[in-house]
Amino acid sequence: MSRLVRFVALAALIAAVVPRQGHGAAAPPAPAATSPATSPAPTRAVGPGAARLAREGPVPLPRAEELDAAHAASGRCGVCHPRERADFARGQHAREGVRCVSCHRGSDTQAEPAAAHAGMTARPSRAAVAALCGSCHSDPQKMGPYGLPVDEEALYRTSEHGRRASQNDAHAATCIDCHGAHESLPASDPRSLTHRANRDQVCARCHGAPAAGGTGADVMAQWRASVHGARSAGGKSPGCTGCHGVHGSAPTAAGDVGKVCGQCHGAERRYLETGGHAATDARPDAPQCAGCHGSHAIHAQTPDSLVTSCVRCHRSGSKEDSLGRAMRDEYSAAAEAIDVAAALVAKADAIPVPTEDYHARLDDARRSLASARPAAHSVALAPVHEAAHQAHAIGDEVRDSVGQKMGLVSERWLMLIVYWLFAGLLLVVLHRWRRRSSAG
Amino acid sequence: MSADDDPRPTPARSGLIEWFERRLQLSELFSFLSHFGFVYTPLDTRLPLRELLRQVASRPVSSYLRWPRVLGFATTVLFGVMTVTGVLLACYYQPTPEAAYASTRAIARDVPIGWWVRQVHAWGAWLLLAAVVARLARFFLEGLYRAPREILWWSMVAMGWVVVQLDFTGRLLPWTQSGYWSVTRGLETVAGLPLVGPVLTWIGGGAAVNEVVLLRFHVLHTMVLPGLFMALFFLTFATLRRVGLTTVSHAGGVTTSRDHFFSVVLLFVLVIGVLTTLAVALPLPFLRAADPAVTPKGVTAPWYLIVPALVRDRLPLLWWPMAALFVASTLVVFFLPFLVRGDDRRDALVRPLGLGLGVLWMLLTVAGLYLERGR
Amino acid sequence: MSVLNAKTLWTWASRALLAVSGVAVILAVSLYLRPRELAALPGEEWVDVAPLDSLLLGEARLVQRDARPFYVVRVDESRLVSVSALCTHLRCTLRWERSEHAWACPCHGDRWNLSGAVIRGPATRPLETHTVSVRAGEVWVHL
Repeated sequence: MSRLVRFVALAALIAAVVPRQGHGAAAPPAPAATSPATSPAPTRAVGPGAARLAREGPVPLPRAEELDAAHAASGRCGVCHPRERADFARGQHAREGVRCVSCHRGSDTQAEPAAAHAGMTARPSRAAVAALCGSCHSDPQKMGPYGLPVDEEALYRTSEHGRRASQNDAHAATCIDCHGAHESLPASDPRSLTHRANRDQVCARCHGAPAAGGTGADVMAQWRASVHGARSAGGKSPGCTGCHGVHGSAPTAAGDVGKVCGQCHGAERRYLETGGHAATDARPDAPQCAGCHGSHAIHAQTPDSLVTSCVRCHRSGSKEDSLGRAMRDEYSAAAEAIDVAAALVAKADAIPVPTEDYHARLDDARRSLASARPAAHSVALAPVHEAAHQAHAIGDEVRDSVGQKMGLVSERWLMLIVYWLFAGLLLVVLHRWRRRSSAG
Repeated sequence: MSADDDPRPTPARSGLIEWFERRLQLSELFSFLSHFGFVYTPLDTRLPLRELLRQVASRPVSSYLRWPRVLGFATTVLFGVMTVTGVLLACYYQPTPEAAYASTRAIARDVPIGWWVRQVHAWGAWLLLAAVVARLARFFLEGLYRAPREILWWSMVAMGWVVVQLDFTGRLLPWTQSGYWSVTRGLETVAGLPLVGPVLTWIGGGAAVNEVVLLRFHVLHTMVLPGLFMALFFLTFATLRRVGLTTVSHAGGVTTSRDHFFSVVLLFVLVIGVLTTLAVALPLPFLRAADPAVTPKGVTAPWYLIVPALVRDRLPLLWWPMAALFVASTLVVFFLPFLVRGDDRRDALVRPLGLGLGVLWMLLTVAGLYLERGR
Repeated sequence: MSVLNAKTLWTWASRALLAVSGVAVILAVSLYLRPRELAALPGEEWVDVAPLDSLLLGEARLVQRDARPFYVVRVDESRLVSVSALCTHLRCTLRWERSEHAWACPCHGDRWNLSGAVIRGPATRPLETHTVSVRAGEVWVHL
C-alpha cells in the first residue's frame, strides 16, 4: 500500500512541475518584453483593448513561428495591444517586414505610451485607407517580386465603394473591411475573409439582412436560397464577386445584365441578343435576364415559366402570351413523349427484350430537348419548335419500335392458351385410357 | 406367369426385348422404378422384364393423387422439371463474372423458347421450395417422425436444407445486382455463424463474392447439390419400401401402379401448365447487371436469412444467443425422433411448440423484410 | 382395323395427340439447342467503335469482337462502310488494301470490293455488311 502511495505522490509531483502544452505560464519571458518599472503590471485588463477584451474574450494565441515574426514586426506595440499583435502575427504582412509603424506611424521602440504614440495615426479615415494600402499595393516595384496585381486601388476608385469612401461615408467598404485590418491572409488561405468560401459572408455584413447588421434588402438570403447559392455546377456557380466584380464592384448596369449572365450562359445570351428581346437600349425595365429570372433569387426554371413570365409585361391573352404558351406546350409534349418512351424501354429491359439501341436514341432525344431551353430565349417559336419537334419525333420512334418488340411478348399469351387447350385434351385422353386399361 | 416357367420365355410381340433379355437382366436395370419412387414394394428382379412389369402393373397401391401425398409427388415432378430446365440453361450459361449476365440475358432474350426455360426454372424454384416445406410441415404436424420413420424424417429435413442451398447458390448465377448483393449479405451473415460459418465459407470459396465464388456456386448448384438431392430421393424411397407409406388415410382409395403412372403424367401436365401460366402472366423481371462498386437500395439478404441478418445488423448483442439457438434448434430438429422416443406426452407438447416457433419465425421474417425494405 | 367405331377413332385420335405433343417437345428442345456462336448472342446490338474524327480517310479500323470481328472504313468525309472481317472461304481474318480499296485474304488470296462483293478468289460468298450510323460524333455499327 505504501508503495502505491509513494508512486501516486511522485506522479502528481511530476505532473505539477512539468509545463504542459498551451500553458504559457512556465515559458520563459520573451526578451523584448522586459517589464520596466514604469509599465503597469495589469491585474485587471486596462488599456485600449480592454473593452473589446471584455466583450469578445481573450484572443487565441498565435503559433510559435508567428510569434517570432510578430516580435520582429510589432516591436513594443504588442505589449499594450496584444490583440492587434496576435491578429497581425497571423497575417501575411508580418512575414514581409511590414511593421505597425508602416501604417500607423508613431514609434515602436518607445516604452512610454505617450512617446510611442507621438505622430501616430490610430485609425486612418475611410478616405485615407485606400491610399494607405495603395502606397505599397499600387507600386509595381514593390509588388513585382510577389507577382501581385497593382490595379486594385484604381479599380476600387471606380466602384461605388471607392466613391463613397472618398467622401468619408461611414458605410462605405474600404480595403480593411474585406481584407481585415491587421490579419491580412492570402485568398488561398481558408481562414482568409477573401477565400472563395468566405467571400459571401463578407459582403453580407453590409448587404445582407438588416437583422444581421446589414443595410440592404435581404439579397443574401435570396441568393442563398437560389440555385446559385446552392453552389451547384461543381462549386463554380457564382457568388457575389462572380457577377459584381471584386475591387471594381458595381451593381450590374441595366443593359449589361446579359453580358454578366452570359459569361456562363452563353447559349441563352446568344439567343437573347438575336431575338425579339435584344436590348436596343439600356432601359431599366428592359427584358434582360433579371426581368424574368430575378437578379438574386434565381430559381431553376420549369416549362411553366414560359407561361408565367411573359404575362409580367405582356397582357394576358396577347400574342406574346400565346407564344409563351405555345413554346411551353411544344416542350412539354416532347418531354412527355420521351418519358413515355423511357418507361416503355425500362419495362422492356425487365422482360428482357433487346433495347441497347433505344437507350442511345433516348439520349439523342434528351440532348435535342435540352437545346430547346436556351432556344426559348429568342422569343420566337421556330428554334424551340425545331428542337422540341426533333426530340418528340425520336421519342415517338423509340416508343413505336419498343412497342413492336413488346408486341412479340403478347404471343406468349397465345402460347399459354394453346397449351391449356392441349392439356385439357390430353387429360381427357388419359382419363379414357385409364378407364379402358383398368377395365381391360 | 410365375417363376416356375421356363426362364427363357417364348418370344412374344417382338423379339427385341427378348434379345436384350438374353444378354442383360433387364429387370435389374429397370429397378429404378422402385428406387426412384414409381413402385413402393420390393421387386423381384429375377423375373424377366415383361413379367415384372405385368406384376407391378396389377399390384394395388394407395392413390397418390390425393392430398397430402400429392406433395411428395409434386416434389418429384418439380425436381425433374428443374433438372431438365437446368440442363437446358446450362447449355448457354457461362459461369464467369464477365459473361454470366450477358449469357443469361441471351437465354432470356435471344434464344427461342429461352424465356420460357428461364421463367419455368425461376418459378419452379419457388414451387419446389413450397412443396418441400409443406411436406416437412405436414410430416411434423402429423407426428410422422417417430419410429420407424426416423430416416425418412432426416432425409426430408436434409432435402429442405438442400433446396434452400440450391436457391442460395442459384440466385448468384445470373450475376444481377439483386442476386449479387443479396448473396453478399447472406454470406456475411453465414460467415458469422459460430461453427458452420467458417466451414461453409470455405466450401463456398470465400466471404467476398468474386469469380471463384461464382464458379464454385455453379459447381454446387449444377452438380453437387442436385446429386445430393437425388441421393436423398434414393434414401427416401429405400426407407419407404421398408416402412411403407403412412397409414393415415387422408388419401383414400386404392389403385394400381398403372393408374399411378397415369397420375404421374397428369400431374406433370398440370405442373407444367401452372409454371407456364406463371411464366406468362407473372414473369419474374430481369434486372440490371451486378456492379460490385454500387450497392442498390432495398436489397436485403435472402428471405430465409433475413432474421439472422437483421439480428447481426441491428441487435448485435443478440447475435451469439441467436446463433446458439440456431445450432440448438438444428440439432433438436434432427434428433427429434429420439427426443420423443417413448414419451407420448413430450411428443404431444413438441408439435404445438414447433408450430408456434415456426409461425413466430415466419412472422419475424415478414417483419424483417418490411423493416429492411427501404434500406 | 376392320372396325371403324368410336372406340378405334378415339384410339387413333389419342395416339395422334400424343405423337403431336411428342414431336412438339422435340422440336422445341431442338430449336432451343440449335448450335449458335455464343458471341453472336445477344442477337442484334449496336457497337460503339470510335469518334468519327479519329478515323482517317481511307483508313480501315478492325474491331475485334470475339467471334464476330468487323472492319469500319471511312471512305470519304461522310461515307462509312462496315463489313465482317472473316473470310467467307475458311474464316481467316482479312486485310485491308488501302491502295486498291479492297479486302484481301492472306490465306488464299481472295478479294472483295467495298460493297462486299467477291472480286477474286476461292471464296464465293460476299462479305456480310453491317449498317453504320454516326451519332453525336461517334461511329456506331449494327451487328
